[in-house]
Amino acid sequence: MEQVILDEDGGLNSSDGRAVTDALTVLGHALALAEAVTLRSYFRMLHRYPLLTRTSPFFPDLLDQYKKLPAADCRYADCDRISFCKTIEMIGFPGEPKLEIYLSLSGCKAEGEDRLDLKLVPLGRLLDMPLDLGQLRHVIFGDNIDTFVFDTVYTLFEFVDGVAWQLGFQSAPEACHI
Amino acid sequence: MFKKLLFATTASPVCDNAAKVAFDLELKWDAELILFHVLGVPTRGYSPFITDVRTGETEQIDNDYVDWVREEMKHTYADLLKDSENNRIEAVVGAPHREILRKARTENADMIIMGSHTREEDVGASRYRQIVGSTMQKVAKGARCPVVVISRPCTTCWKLFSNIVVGTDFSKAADSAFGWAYRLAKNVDARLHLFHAVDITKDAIGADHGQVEIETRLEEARDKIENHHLSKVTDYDNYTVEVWEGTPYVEILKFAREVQADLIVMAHHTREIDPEKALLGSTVEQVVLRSACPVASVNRPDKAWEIDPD
Repeated sequence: MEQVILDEDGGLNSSDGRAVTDALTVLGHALALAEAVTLRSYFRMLHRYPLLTRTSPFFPDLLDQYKKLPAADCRYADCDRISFCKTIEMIGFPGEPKLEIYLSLSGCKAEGEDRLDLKLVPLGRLLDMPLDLGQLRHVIFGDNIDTFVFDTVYTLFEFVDGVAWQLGFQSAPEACHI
Repeated sequence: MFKKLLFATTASPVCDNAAKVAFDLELKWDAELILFHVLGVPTRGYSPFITDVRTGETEQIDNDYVDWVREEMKHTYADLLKDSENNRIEAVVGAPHREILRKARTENADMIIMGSHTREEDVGASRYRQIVGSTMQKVAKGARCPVVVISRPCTTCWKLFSNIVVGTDFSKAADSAFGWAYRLAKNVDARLHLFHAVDITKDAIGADHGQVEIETRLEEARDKIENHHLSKVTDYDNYTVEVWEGTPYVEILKFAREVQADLIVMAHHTREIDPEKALLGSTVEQVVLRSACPVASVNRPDKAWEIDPD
């Protein structure tokens, strides 16, 4: 599978070092993240390749929020990095048994498996958090009792779309009206 | 006002956010709060065995077991019960949605309060699965009273709410939603924000719409709001009207954030005229999971126009 690499400044490069000019042509390529990539690099990528912003209804609002945020030091003290993960989950109950595959974005500590839900953390505290591509979690029969972990690859499309979807859940107000 | 509130709970941490709002409302409205938990589905008929609704495990049921569950509920909500003045704790066996609806009907509850899921869910998963819990969907579909769904900590002050957003698409169910929101706003002297999003995504995905066409549709929507809803407003002027274009659930969430809404009121899947056939609309589902404030879904007119404005 061909690879595309996201740089800290939001640029996309092919594995032989050539800069990508048309992001659509590499949407199906396996993504690798260069060192020092943060969530801000994701938004820089959207700025460089505006065509990508047409893939999700959340982008106009997210980009508006992004433009109003400080240019540095947007960090969240309770986690060390943000991890983009794929989960395969077998669910036996309630309802009919089913298998679900989904992507998620969560906060992680340097050590330990605890995953932190980011939906209550404002975007302004996440932008400069290091970002990595996590392993695939295979949950057997729900309730996260038995979980296997595997190495996997993510395509550029999964990354662009999955992060946008996840950030679409962030709506915690900064302050109460009253 | 609200005399009887039914808080349908799984008695587990997934309902903690809803619990806080339910107890707050009990004190605010001086109402009776019924904490109602359906602990399991009988394996068959009047079987003494039940399938636990959360774990799927089989348990033997008798009066002692039910009493034990009620005791456990008291422990779970011990902190909140300390300040509560008028509550009842009940645990029953049955299909959750049916029992909750039965309870709401027999008690003539003014409002059902619940969380959005039975299990702790990863929100990323919601794209691939039924987006809100099936119990919540069925209750919302069948309930004659408004159903308030709380899916995350209520960071705004619903107890002292000052901004109510009502999303409308001019259907019969939306009339009920508006009616309930209007009476409520009038009662608590909150500002009512009447909102409609012109859905420019459903005609043809990715199609570009001309500015003139969008402007025309926005104007038409404003006229409809005037005819459908504002014609029913009497002696009340603390309201605003907004019509935006875009993807409806994205726009209503943006608008709610902009006006710092304390409550969003919407109708269920509103293109269905017959409430018997209405499942929770996808717009409501998306709003429920993403909204920072509680979301009330109103399906029928029964309680909508009943609230005493005094």
